Amino acid sequence: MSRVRAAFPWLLRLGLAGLFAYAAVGKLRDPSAFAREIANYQLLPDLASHVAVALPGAELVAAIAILLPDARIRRAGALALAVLLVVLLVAVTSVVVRGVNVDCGCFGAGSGEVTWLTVLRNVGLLAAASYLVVRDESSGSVGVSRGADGGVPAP
Amino acid sequence: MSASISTIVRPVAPLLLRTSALLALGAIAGYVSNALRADGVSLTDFDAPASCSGPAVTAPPDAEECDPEPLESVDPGASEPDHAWSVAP
Repeated sequence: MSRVRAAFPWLLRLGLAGLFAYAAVGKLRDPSAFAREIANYQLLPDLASHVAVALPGAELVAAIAILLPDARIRRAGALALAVLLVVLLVAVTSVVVRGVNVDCGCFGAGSGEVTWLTVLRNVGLLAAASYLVVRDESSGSVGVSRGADGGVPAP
Repeated sequence: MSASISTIVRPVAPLLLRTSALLALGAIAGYVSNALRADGVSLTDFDAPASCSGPAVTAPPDAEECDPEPLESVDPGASEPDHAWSVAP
């Protein structure tokens, strides 16, 4: 049971890292299409190109950071993901509330429309990232103090 | 007052600094990657699509304003269609 409890944060990290890395790569494949999708959100359209360039890089770096052995970097990565998720959550919620029917762009082109399900998904991801921020704080150096293998629990 | 703010901020300051550094690093990496790409986004003259013509917009909120008026059927036998907007001679 304690092994499961110890493994849970790492499963969360792996899941979040995989998801955000996949999302970042999808956006990096066609930055112009992603910039158009951001502009379609009708939120600060003048900044669409800058967001399209900066966001995938930030997602990728944060995704890598939450897998690093240093608990301080991991925690910062989790907080970075939480910050990004808050921004994305505000964007998709405003789109749904305003009734703007746009493509999500969450994983690059062809990610499907923004719906309340998208909002719910982002809330869940935000909860997971927040848990990782708090978890590493409450347990000190989770992962570093558990073993020489960087804290990955033994199978 | 300043002491209490310091008490709150001091423990989280390193975390906030590291988080900001990660986000900045990612953003810079994104800019560098975009600059190195032949098909990168133009940051200076990106042409944001109008809300009615964006390829990802499947049904803009002001669709009634965007969509042109449906064309009236024209009787092929009529000599001249009766357009309300036609300029009088």
